[in-house]
Amino acid sequence: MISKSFIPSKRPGEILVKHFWRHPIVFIKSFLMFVIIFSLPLFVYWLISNFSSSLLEHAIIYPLLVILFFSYYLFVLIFALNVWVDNYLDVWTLTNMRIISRTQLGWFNRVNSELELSKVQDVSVEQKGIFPTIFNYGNLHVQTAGTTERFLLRDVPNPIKVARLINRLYE
Amino acid sequence: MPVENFQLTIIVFYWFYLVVLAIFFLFFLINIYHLLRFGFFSVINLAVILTSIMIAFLLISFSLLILQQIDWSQTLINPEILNGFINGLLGGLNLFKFKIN
Repeated sequence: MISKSFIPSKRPGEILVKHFWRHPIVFIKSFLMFVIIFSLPLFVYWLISNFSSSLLEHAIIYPLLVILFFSYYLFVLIFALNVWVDNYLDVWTLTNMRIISRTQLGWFNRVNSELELSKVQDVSVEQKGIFPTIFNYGNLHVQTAGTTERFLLRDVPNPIKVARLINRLYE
Repeated sequence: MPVENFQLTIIVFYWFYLVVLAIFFLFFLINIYHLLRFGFFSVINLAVILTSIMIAFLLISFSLLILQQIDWSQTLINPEILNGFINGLLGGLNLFKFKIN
């Protein structure tokens, strides 16, 4: 595991300011999806036990149902863990010199990119929709000099505060 | 194995479950590896790793406990029909025997 003070390819004199993750509400959306996925077999079980209970005593169908039931939950667990890995391992690190983005794009697929604070020209915040407004999270666009490309930090908590922090660091 | 005694039982479901378990272990270990290798040393990361290991352990042990109580010797397909099919397939020469008057 990585230490909380870890800075990728740390330079002399570089100081960690903050690590950022996606806002927890993003995980809550996934969690609600998993509540539905989790309750589906229980609903099917309720249907079978109420309307066709003889299936639960059948010598062939009952073992098949048990196998399918547990196989389903094992794959749900894998899927849930995979969603967590994909979201939790996306980290943005702000130092006094750089913004470093580490994005997990699936298994064995990580993208590391960085941006020099000295090249930052503009930082803008986008909070679109009900949830971002209520729970105070949004996308942060960092524009650099000389390029049209923008650095995008998605679903950052307190984006205005973070934008001010970046402004203060590069000024 | 003599073809006459071949009987397909519901044990094939159990074998299927063992394959599912093998795939599960592979994917589970890959996910845990990513959390250990790239995750931060934090309470939340440790909690997620330990909770998922605990859920997996409970789910698998509970499933094996239930599967132990099942009679796996139950035949899946009527053995007479299956034997006829397999005999026809393996001893196929009989199918093409010509009658000579």
